[in-house]
Amino acid sequence: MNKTISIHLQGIPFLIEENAYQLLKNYLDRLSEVLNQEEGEEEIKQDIEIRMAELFSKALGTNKKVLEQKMVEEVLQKLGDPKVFVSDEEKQTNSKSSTQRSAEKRLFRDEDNSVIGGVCAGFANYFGLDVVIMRAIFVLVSLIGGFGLPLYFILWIITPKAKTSIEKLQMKGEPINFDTMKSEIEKTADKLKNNSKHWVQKVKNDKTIENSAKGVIRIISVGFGLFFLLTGTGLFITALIFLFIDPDFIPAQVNGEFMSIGKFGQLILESGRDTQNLIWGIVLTFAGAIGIFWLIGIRLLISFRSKILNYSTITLLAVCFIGIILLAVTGARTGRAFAIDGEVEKEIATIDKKELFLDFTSSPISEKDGYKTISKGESGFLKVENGEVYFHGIEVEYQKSGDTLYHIKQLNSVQGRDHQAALKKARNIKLGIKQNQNHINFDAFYTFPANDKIRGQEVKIIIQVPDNGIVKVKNKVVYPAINQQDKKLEEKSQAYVDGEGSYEAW
Amino acid sequence: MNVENTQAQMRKGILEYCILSILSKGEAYPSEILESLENAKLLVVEGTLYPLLTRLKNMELLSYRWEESTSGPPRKYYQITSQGQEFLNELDKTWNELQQAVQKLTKK
Repeated sequence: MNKTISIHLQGIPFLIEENAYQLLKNYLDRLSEVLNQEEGEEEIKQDIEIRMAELFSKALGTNKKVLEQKMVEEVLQKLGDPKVFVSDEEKQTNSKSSTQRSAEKRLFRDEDNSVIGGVCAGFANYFGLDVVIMRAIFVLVSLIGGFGLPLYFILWIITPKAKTSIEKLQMKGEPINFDTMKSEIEKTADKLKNNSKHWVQKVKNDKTIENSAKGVIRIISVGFGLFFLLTGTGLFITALIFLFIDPDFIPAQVNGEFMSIGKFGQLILESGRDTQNLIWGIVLTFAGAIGIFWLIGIRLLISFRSKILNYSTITLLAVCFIGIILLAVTGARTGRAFAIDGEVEKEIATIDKKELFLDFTSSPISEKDGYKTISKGESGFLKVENGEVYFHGIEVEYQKSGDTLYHIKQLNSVQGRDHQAALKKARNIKLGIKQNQNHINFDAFYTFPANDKIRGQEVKIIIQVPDNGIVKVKNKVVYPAINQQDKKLEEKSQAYVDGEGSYEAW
Repeated sequence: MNVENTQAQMRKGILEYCILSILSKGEAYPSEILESLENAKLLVVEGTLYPLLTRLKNMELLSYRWEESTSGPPRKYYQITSQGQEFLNELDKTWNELQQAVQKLTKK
């Protein structure tokens, strides 16, 4: 079965097979092309169409109704190749003929081989490159420069689409003659046949749909497809960097250098097994997610459906899921290591004086060539040096003393898997203290062994003050606190000393 | 340059002369002109005729009129103008001179 198209030549109606129609249309396009701007172009075209109508009528006779490809071929053969019969004329009338131009390569969009708009395919034809290489170059440029996408859309708009067979030949730079044209037309005919199978192709070729809602949806889906592809690629690159380079980017110091995510993990996670699980969890989750992003991107871009794609999506989802489970297990195990609170307390000093003087130093001060070092070369929230973790900041709490003495206590708190482990870790926390009668100097930082891991270690100084007792920090009364405006006593019993040694009460 | 090409050039060169000649015997529409030319084996492809007719018409050597046809599209009947007739007379003279010259030269 063949589809027929109804046409009319200079007012004479004909029914024509689809293939034959393509052939005829291409011939007339080519005629227009060759006659372009020739004197009396319209007249010559009209005369030739009249002659065609006569020859077709004759070929059909009285029995046949539909023009077949063979009849059209014969008639066109009889009329001859427009280039052959027009070129001489042109040489006489205007010496710059279109014969040269027609052999020249021209840039068109190649929608026959398109993924989006056929821009890359067109450029590949123009430069004689393989289309895949052209696309790879384009994607690379997009990834590196970032202006690839807008550039693509501009090229899509300004580059004409190769519509006629002649334009398709010009696009490929092939000589235009009857044979190449015929093969091009046969290609078109084959494509028309295949179109019925692939609705996507049909959407591409159908001009009416191209401008309608489906076209818009196609553009949107391509946009999302590219977004997914680029996001997937971004994740992939990020994953590679963390997996193989493991950059020291965490603003915490280990022996004077920034910390990598791996080293940070070692400070948090209970065992080597947890570290392994964390790494595998991250790898699998990332791999699954990257794969899924890519597949979604590819699907949206080329509207390609197959069972393999479905299976791959399911597999990748499973991989991603396993990764998430590993991460959850590691998270739960690590969480369990924070389960039990452990607190230990010891009495640092007992003082029988009217006033208590406190001071806090941020770190030991060194002196060289008459200069005191005041910067500590610290950065971020923690520091690890010689197997010891340094944390800044100490809490202070005031309580009423039960007797007439000052009692100063140090309270270490920490979390652990069980009570014993927590207590052991709590005892490992160290705070530097110097006492000289009723003057006590505290370090504004405390330390604990890195092997204990970070388990919410905290240090609090509890000061029990007798009635009428006064506590001063750097010779300023801090307890009992006096409101500066009302000159009244205020119930401020909590204070915090930050890493710089400055004191704040509330 | 091959023989075919030379032959095509020779045919084309005298085609205008022949068209004027055919039309001097009476008006005709393109299919009739084509028939005469094809009988004389002067034409390889039909398309060649149309640009020539248009050119001759634009040079006002030919004119045409439309006539409805019962069996097909309307026909364009071409006829030679008085200017065309003068032109043809000139060409006749040239042709005779050329023919004699060529015969003399190619006689073996």
